[in-house]
Amino acid sequence: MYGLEAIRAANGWTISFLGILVVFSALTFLSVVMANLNRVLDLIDKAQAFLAKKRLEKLVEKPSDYATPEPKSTSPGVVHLNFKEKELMEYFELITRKLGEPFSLAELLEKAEERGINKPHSGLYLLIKKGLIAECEGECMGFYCWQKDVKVDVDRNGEEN
Amino acid sequence: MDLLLDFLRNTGFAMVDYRHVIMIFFGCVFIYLGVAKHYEPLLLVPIGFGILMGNVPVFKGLGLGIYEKGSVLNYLYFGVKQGIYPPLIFLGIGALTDFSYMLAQPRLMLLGAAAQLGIFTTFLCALALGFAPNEAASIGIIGGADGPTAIFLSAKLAPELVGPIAIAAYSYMALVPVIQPPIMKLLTTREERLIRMKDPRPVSKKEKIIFPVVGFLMCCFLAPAALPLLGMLFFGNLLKECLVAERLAQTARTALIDIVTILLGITVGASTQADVFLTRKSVGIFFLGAASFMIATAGGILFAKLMNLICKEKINPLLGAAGVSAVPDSARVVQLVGNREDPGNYLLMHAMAPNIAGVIGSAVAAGVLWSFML
Repeated sequence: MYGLEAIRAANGWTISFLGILVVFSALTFLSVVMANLNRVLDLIDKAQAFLAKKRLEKLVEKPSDYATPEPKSTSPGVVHLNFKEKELMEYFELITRKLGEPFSLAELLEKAEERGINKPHSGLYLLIKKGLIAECEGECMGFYCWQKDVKVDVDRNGEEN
Repeated sequence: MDLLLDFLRNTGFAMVDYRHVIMIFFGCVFIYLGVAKHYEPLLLVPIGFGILMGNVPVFKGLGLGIYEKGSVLNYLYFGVKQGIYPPLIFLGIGALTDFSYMLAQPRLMLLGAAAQLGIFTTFLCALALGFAPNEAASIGIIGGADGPTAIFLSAKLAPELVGPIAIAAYSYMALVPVIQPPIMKLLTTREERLIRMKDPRPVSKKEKIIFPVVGFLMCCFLAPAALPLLGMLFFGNLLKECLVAERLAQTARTALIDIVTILLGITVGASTQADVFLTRKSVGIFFLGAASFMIATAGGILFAKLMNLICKEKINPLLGAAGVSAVPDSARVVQLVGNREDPGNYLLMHAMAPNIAGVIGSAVAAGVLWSFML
């Protein structure tokens, strides 16, 4: 069988029409979804940022809740830092002065990166490890604050390192 | 003396006929095109050598030929017959491909769909020329310009035609820089070729990770028969984008895809034994394959022009030609043709969008044709 007769006998027209329809539908659906996906993701990001901001605002509005945050660990007394570590600590103090206490580590890191502080992650880790920054308890859990009762001793020998 | 004569009667020189010589000539041409002209060398060199291997006349019954049960080549050919190699190649392609150009301009995906017009038009032409429906579907898929997809579908629907279809598909893919430019110039005006497009927006990591999951689910729910190909393609891409499975992605895009390409190339080449390959059907397949490529190219370009009538932001219609998969050759051709008109116009990144959409589109089309022929 040849020609149009062969096409008809094999349902060629229907198969071709449905085939091209399915291909177009698949790619059209996909393109519509992908065109809107970034908007949905943006919306989710904005919602998350908004909620975090609200949470912070709520904490600021109720100073009694966090004015005397109870640190998890009690003061170890004196912490020895070399000159570079002290300098790093001062940078972070400057940023947190603007952010206010208690502060979120993610926000602090973001600001530190913006200001071009070298290796902010390891710097912050060091301050936490030394007990200069600690996580708050109670309603402020998840936020951090400086341990005011910890004294810093600058080790002049470490300056050479 | 009799022993010597027997031995001489069993040598290739005594058994050779003109068809073997023709095929060996084609094998040499493939190797030449790959080595000297750099036309798809990773495919044409193994296929060309496979043609040589398949067309050395051998004594039947010794278990040497690719169609003889138990022969080494027959075991390797199992991966082609059962459609194992193409999905593995798709895994590698997924792990190699950056989908971000397509995600940045999703409307260009439609050009990848329009170029699949070649598949269905050729399917109709093949039916009209007297091919059986399953054969017509396998021939039509050549227009998808996607070797693994063409092999996968023909292995499922018309295993006896795998050789000619694969050779036709890869030959035309290698000839994309020759076939496409005249059609592109014929169907577009100079003003259209000069259209510049905005730089694509940056795509976030989250989008890149979500896309393979969403894309896989949407396409395979709509055309489940495309699951082996699209599943592997999107899985490979997820491995690449998620960054936590870098070792797997690295293997998929290097060692695995290379091994499978070697096996696929050699066995497809060897499957073109003269007595199986040199038939009237093969000649028909070559003509229809060329037509399929041309219609696919024209379909993409004309659809881009149609979109320009509707959309505010104009698309350079040359991008439509990249809708035939042939990644990344057809995108490169778009860049070259566009560059000839305006050396400052960079279309490559835009062309990658319909190019990748074409891969997805041709796999969906293969799935649809397969499900209709079951």
